[in-house]
Amino acid sequence: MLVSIRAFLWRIFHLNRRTKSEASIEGELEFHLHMEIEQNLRQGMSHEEARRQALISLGGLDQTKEACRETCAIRWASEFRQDLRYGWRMLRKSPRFTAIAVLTLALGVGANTAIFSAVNGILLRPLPYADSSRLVTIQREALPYYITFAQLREIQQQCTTLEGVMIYNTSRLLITGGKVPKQVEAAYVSNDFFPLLGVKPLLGRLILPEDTQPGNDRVAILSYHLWMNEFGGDPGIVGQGISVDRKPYTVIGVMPREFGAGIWGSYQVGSIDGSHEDMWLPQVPPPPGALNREAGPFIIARLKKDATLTQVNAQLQPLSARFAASYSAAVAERAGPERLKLFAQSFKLGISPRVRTGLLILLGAVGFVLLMACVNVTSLLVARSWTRQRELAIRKALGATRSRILRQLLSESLLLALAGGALGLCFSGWGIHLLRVLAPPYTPRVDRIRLDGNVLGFTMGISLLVAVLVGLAPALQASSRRVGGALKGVLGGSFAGIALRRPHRLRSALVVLEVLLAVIVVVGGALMGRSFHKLMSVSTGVSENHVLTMWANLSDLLRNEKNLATKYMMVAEDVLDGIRSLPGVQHAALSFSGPLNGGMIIGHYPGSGGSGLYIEGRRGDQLPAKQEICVRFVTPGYFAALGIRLLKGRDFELRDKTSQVAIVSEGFARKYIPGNPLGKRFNTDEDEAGRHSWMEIIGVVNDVRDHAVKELGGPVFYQPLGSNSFGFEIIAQTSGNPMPLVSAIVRVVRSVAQDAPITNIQTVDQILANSAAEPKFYTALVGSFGVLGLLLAIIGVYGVISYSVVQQTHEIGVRMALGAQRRDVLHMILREGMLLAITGIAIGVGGALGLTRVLRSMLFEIEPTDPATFASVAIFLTIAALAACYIPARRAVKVDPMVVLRHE
Amino acid sequence: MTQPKSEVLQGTLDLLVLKTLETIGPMHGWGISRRIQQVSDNALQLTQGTIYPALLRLEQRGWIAAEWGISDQNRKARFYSITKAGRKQLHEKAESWERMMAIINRVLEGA
Repeated sequence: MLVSIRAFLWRIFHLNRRTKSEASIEGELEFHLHMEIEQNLRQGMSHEEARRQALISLGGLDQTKEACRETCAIRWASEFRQDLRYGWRMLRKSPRFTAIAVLTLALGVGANTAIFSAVNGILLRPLPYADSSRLVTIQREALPYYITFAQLREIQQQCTTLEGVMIYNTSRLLITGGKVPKQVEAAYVSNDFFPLLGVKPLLGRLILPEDTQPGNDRVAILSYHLWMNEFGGDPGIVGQGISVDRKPYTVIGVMPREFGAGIWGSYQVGSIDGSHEDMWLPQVPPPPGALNREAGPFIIARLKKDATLTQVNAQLQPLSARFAASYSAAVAERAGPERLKLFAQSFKLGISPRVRTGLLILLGAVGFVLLMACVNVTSLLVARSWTRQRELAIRKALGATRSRILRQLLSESLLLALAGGALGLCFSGWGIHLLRVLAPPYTPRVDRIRLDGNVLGFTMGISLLVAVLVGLAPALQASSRRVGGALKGVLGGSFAGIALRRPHRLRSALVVLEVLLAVIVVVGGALMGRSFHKLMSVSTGVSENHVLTMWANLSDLLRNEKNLATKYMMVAEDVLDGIRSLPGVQHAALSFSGPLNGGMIIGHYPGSGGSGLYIEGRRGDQLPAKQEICVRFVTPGYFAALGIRLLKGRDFELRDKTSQVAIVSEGFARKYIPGNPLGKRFNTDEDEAGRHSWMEIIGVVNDVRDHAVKELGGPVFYQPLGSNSFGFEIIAQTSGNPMPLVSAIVRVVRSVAQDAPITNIQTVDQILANSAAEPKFYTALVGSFGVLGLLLAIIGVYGVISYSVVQQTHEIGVRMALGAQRRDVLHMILREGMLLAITGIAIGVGGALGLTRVLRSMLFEIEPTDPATFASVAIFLTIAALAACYIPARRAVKVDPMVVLRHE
Repeated sequence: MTQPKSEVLQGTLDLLVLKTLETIGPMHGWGISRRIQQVSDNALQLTQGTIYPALLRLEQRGWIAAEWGISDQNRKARFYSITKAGRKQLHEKAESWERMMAIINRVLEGA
């Protein structure tokens, strides 16, 4: 042990004196040679003879040097440089090979780097808050049931594993004082909020304890975006007054740019809007008598040192059970007891699971592409190591050990991988740009998709991995070949080519691997493509052209109105009349919610009592199981404006606004009402005594793709607009491009309701495009990985087969000289190639059947194991492989046996 | 060429080199190999491919030390000498070699 340490130290010590010790060995050997010659001279030999005999008796000078070097230092450290230099020379000597290999690897590494930068930026990077890994949120799944102040206080007292427990609540408020009246998302926070997150203001100050005292609470902190967009980035904004919901507030600070951008948005269940906060206001603690008031949707807190999430959830459980018990049975039934439970989760998990799944799927798909790139380059290297047999054999004869050759070949593949990695990094720059541009709207943290230390480390890591993957097999194969055999094979021996068929096994394995990876990638792409096609070809149920929608906010106008419903309907009718009289408007209508997103959802849990669906003459247990029903409140003309067809019965009329009537969707009728639905009556509530005020069905309309496009035709019913509300959606169908009419419509609204903020101005086709953006994004990416994989497979199979044909030229020549027909030779080569390809396809189909399950949540109306897709991919790949084999096979049969034999 | 040459086992080569250096004092590689050749009546032929890696190995282990010096013919040569650790090693190795030989002899005679 001691001895080996000593030897090691000696080596280290001599490492720096490498050149010196090399010279010393040479000097010593020279002396030895000299002494030998002297001795021979003394024995009476001639000068030449003496030298010749000396050299013979000594054995090879170079072998000796090599043997000395072998014991001399930590060889690989210094030889590594030599290997790299040598590898560089070899790569430069065959630029075409190098270019193809580097480019292939660069594509693989570049695509992986780009996708990883998205995973890193969106999922992995910590939030920009102090010690963010210990931040937790506590909430209920049943979101409308907010946490009350009393509950908050109990959690603060009982959860000893948490500190800084505070409630977070947001509200939509109207601000004036900026450029135009604007509705903003405001958050009410306590004075502990900003210190908990460890953020500092860009301008001014944060909320202080005295700001949360009643009477002192009229202060506001603006977001960077609000400050920029509405106040022009005025540096003197701090101390200025603004009006928030008609009350005077003083601006006390502005937050930095990245704070609040879309982080909270991901918590807004049921909303696709990843909106961010615009403003933070002090949260005033409630007076002692009002502790049962709802405080907010969720709690933010920080884990105490050494506490874990599991401990927090364990502490929450008894509290949660007690809180749930305080709700009435009706509430508990409606929300579901499980969904009322409070649960804590890590702050980061707020990123929606869809985004997470999508990104991980992309990472998987792109990983397969990288593997394929590796297999391709491996087979190139295997082919090349064949042509380099002579060089390697000579090196071996000169005394290079097996490990020496192995290391040299590996350092060549390391060079290739590093070059590929560097070029891939350049490619990934474009990739990242594309990702940021193409990312579906409302993707959280898109601005954080970029190259950083993590991403660079990842790229470096996969490049090294690639070097090993790509280099190991060919290097092992080349270094293990016996010197004698290889020399013979190179230097002559007519049948050497046939005698050395063993490495075929490696090549065959590569072809099989390549094809099976291709099957997996292509099947993934094909499934996504077919799903997207189906999604796009399904009718939306509405007319997509020339329909404009916008939201008019009346909360300001109606706030102090005594007779709300009357005033609301007056405004609505005036606005509607005004818009209908505009030239170019064909149909106009109002509704309580946007035409393709939102709507009120009523949970239907048969037999539970309270809220739910009741149909006259049917018992609850005859209805289908648990289901969510959407209700929309609309004015007459809604269906015409959106191009929804009335299938049975009639549209609403003005007089209906006070009567109990409803129009149902086709899906609703099919599901709940057998026979002719017209005249049937239903309701969604019952009073304490179990009585119902029935609504009569007066019409049936076609299904509409609601919410996000992915959910097709859930049951919907419509009621006349008439209830009190704080605003309405305007829907106008125009004869031409609707955008020029926006200002005219806004004028109409403003003439009736002054200062009413108008937001979300968009056309129906924009809404549809937005909701299709996400599937489009994933389809485009997975699809292009599929195409890339297919190309790599074809190139790879072609390369291997044509190389194997070149190897077999001699054999083919001999066979043909012995009378084999061209057709037989063609068949022989095709059979060899196709056997491998079909093996690969079979294994690949098996693998894909297991793997495509992860796609399920991304697929629309298509099973992840869709037999048609699998069959067509298998057939397509078989044809592609056949083509890839046929071209080299054709070349093989053109071999002239005489030329081949004479060549020997 | 007249006599069959024996291959030298690696372990025994160390022993031979150490013994030689202990007997004749500091000597260069050529001298060591000549000396071994002579003492063994030309039965052992050491090529430079054998002797120099062995000398390096011994040097690395600290059993011999090396120094550049001037040979009898006024040439620069590297002289090796045995160290204290080398002497200790030599005695241990010689002992175990003798024990081994005795055992082998006994087996050969007994059979």
